[in-house]
Amino acid sequence: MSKRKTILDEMIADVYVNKDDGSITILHEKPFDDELLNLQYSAHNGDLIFQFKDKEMKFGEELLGEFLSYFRDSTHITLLQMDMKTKNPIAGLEVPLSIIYH
Amino acid sequence: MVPLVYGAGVAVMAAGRFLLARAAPALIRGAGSLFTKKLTIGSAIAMSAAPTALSFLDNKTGNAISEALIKSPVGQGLEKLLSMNEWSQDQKASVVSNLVIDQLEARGSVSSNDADYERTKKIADAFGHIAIGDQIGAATIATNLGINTSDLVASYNEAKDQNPNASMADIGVLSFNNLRNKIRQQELDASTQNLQQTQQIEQKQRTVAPSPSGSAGISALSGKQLSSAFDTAADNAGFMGMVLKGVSLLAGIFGESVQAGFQKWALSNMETTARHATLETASKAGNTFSKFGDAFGIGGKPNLTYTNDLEMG
Repeated sequence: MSKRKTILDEMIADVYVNKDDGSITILHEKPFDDELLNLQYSAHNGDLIFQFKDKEMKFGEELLGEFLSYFRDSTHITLLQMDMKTKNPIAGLEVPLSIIYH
Repeated sequence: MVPLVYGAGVAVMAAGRFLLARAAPALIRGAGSLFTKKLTIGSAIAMSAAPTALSFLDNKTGNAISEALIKSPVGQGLEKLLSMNEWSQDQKASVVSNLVIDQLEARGSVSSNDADYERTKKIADAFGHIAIGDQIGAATIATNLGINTSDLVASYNEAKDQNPNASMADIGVLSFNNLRNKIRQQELDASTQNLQQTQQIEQKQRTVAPSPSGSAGISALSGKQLSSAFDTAADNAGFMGMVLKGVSLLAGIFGESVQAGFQKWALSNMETTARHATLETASKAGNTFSKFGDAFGIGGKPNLTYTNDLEMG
């Protein structure tokens, strides 16, 4: 059985926490191929699930430890698509975040 | 008889193997072993790699020593045993955490039928490690459970400060109650903050777009109603069920999540640039962390999954 693809399988991406204001930002290399509706974070296992219009994908790395409290206190996440050459942002999106506990 | 078994166990500690060998037949009991039960914490490796004299003797007697300890009143005898160098930290912590769990069960605070029983046991393990001064062990367990290690330690220290003469088992139970109250308050504060944010954003959205459907209910609640709902949720969920479940339980009660008030929002070019600049500034000041480090030229340091910031009082 083949493993389901994750965001990290498809592109370079990283999750940043700004400790100044508690905000979470995801930087990603490419545009998504489906409409991103929201994100879901599992406080149980650290999975971050991207919920698109027609599919779901996990981020691909568990986000526990220091990440947990910031996710738990957040209601939305900023996503910035980056130009990898110039290191400048191309487009930005803010999506709702929900927390699950299983 | 348990007291006799306990007495024999203490005598063994003082007099050595010979006495234990003679006492062993009377000590052997059929029940499961404390050490065997708790090897999952990680003590299995330590014990198999370097078995201490005590664990050796304990195994030789069908785990009668540990079995006796777990059934015995906590007193000076146990305190003395816990100070012995030949016990590993995990072994000592196991004795304490099992006492705490037994006390919690005896007092009706937890039941082995609880959905969160395994989690409760792990928290007891963490308190066991704190009780014997093993900060690293406690912090590691707490981190894996998603509990702030500082809350864990503060709960324990408060229990000790307020009850200096209490037994170790009582301190464990009181620590649990302190931790429960701390987490309850944190969840309540977070829920209240979410509520306020929801109300603010809904207000903002009303000025630019119609409110999203289904988001009106939660924002209509007062802080007092929210607190009351949280208490109901906690009661329904049992002792540990409420831990880390506050927001989702509230969502269950109202049939919608606090986050339902938010919609995705495409950022303007100016907003996109501003968000990036904010992140970059924070990063340069050393106030960011990320999963992988610096792939995007932001300069965030990789996530630290564990910080030993414990301060034992």
